[in-house]
Amino acid sequence: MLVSAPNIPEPPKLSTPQQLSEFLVQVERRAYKQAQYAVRDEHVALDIVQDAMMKLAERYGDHPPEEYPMLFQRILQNTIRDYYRRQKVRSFWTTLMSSLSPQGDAEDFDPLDTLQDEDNASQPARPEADLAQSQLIAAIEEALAKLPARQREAFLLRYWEEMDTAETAAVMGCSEGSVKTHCSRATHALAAILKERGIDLS
Amino acid sequence: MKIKLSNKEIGGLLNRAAQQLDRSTLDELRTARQHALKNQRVESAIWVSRNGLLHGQLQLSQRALNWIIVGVVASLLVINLTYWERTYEHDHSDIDIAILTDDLPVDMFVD
Repeated sequence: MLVSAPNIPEPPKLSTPQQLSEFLVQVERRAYKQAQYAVRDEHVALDIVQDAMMKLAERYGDHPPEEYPMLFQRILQNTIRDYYRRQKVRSFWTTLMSSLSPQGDAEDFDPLDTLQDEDNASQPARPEADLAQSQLIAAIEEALAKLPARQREAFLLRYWEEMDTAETAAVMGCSEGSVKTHCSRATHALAAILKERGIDLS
Repeated sequence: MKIKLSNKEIGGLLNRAAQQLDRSTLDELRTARQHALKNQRVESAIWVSRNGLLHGQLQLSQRALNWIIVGVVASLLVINLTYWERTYEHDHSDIDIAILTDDLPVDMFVD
């Protein structure tokens, strides 16, 4: 008599380098922008994305591709938070040292001085419409940069990365209720900031 | 002019912004990606018995695999050295016995 083999659950299909590469191509630009909104420094944002990519590849490179979005977002947000922590410690020591050193030589720093007018590869075909859109994007980015870190994180994960509340909560390491609160506050704050620029957020 | 936007439309505009990154940033992102891919954790082996009694995965990082390879090579070296040492001792003991029993082969006197 033939005895059928017991049903063994198949192990999850592990990813190939090609799949990881495709995933990274898909998310790298958005990840860079997210990091940039959070730290407001291009070089630091690039470092953060590089760190996040490396951590994903080294630690979870053989996981099924379906797990990548959540894992990557979690790593990215943790790397951004680590940067904040390091900044906090650094600014503490800087404040301490500057309070001990003599004052008077401090130069005025204007962030506009460091802004670069870089060549844009995707030059608009319709200058007026695209200029208006660029201004709209700049206004939104400026407003996003003004949000508190957790509110911005929740807002971007929910409405840009299109994660649901549970996924956002898992990435942020908080409850779903907190995610809803952060999102609601972020939307109200954004609406208030954008209203000053003549943009209604519905 | 009033502009009305929804959260979803903001997402769309942010996507547009992400598509307009400058060349140098894109190059750096590509370099970072390639660097990460070089260090991708690889699946080393999947052990599944035919009767299904034992199944599972052995997942090792590249570093762990390197250490295992070094360990195997070192073990083989130790085994070889021990073997050669024993063979050498064995050769000597044959000569000692031959001297004691006065039974040295003619070849020994030729040198």
